[in-house]
Amino acid sequence: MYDFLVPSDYSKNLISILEMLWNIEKDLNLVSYNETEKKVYYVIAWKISDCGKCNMTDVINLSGFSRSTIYKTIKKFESDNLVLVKQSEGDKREFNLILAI
Amino acid sequence: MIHLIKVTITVYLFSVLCYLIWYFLQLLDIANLNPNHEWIGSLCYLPHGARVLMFCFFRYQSLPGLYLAEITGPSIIHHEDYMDGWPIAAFASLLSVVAAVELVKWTKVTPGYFSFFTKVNFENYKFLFLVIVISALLNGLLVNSVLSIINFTESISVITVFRFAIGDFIGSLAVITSLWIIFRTLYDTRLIIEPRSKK
Repeated sequence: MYDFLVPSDYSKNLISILEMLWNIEKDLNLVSYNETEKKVYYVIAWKISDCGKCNMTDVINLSGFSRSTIYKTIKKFESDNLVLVKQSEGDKREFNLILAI
Repeated sequence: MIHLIKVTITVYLFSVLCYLIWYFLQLLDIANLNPNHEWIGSLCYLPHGARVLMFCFFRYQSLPGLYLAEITGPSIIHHEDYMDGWPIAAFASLLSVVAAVELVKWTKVTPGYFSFFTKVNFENYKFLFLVIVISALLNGLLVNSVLSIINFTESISVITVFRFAIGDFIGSLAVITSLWIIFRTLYDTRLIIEPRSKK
């Protein structure tokens, strides 16, 4: 049990390689989205692949983040041309999300 | 002992993989940088990246795996491309990496006194790049000197030494960049988790 919980020297060495690569990426400032934003994007992508469509309410319910966080994040995705926001034809109050890439 | 076996297998497989990819790229000869196909050293030698990366992170335990890869890699792939005495020159290649790491340790980490047991934190990639530069220069000089002694050649071509150094440097950068792209893709697709979240 102890062996499973405590990482071995071998695992530590491998993790060090990942850390080094992560540090390069961090210093080159290539990490532009935070964890919350990435999760929101994955929720949208998963919902679209599962049901064929995704709206704002789905993202709020599935991600567990607040409405304001979701709106702010989707606005950022929209400005980066990652996501397109389209008004629903059935319910005019609802907005469907479409992945741009 | 289990750790040593795991390290040796990992290091060996990674190094041989680098040899295979490098040799495949040589066969494609995309940029035609060596039109007469002379033995003057590759300008993007990926196996040096494997040497540096594996030695920096697995330390002295990586040496058996690295040496095995150095002597079997060329013979498995295409032994005619390598000169006589390569198994001895491989020692010089590994020595250049060991010397570069120890030099960085001596000058940057523990200035003033020398110890084989002190560790360098290669998570700080700047140390790694320093090792790449120093080891590439040392490797160019040492390997060509050893090969000229073994093959009874009186002079060493400066062009070849520089091609070795530049090839080792670019090759190492190519290996690190490739690993970065691979791990970034694995991380983005949630096949691995961010290293910090595991600690």
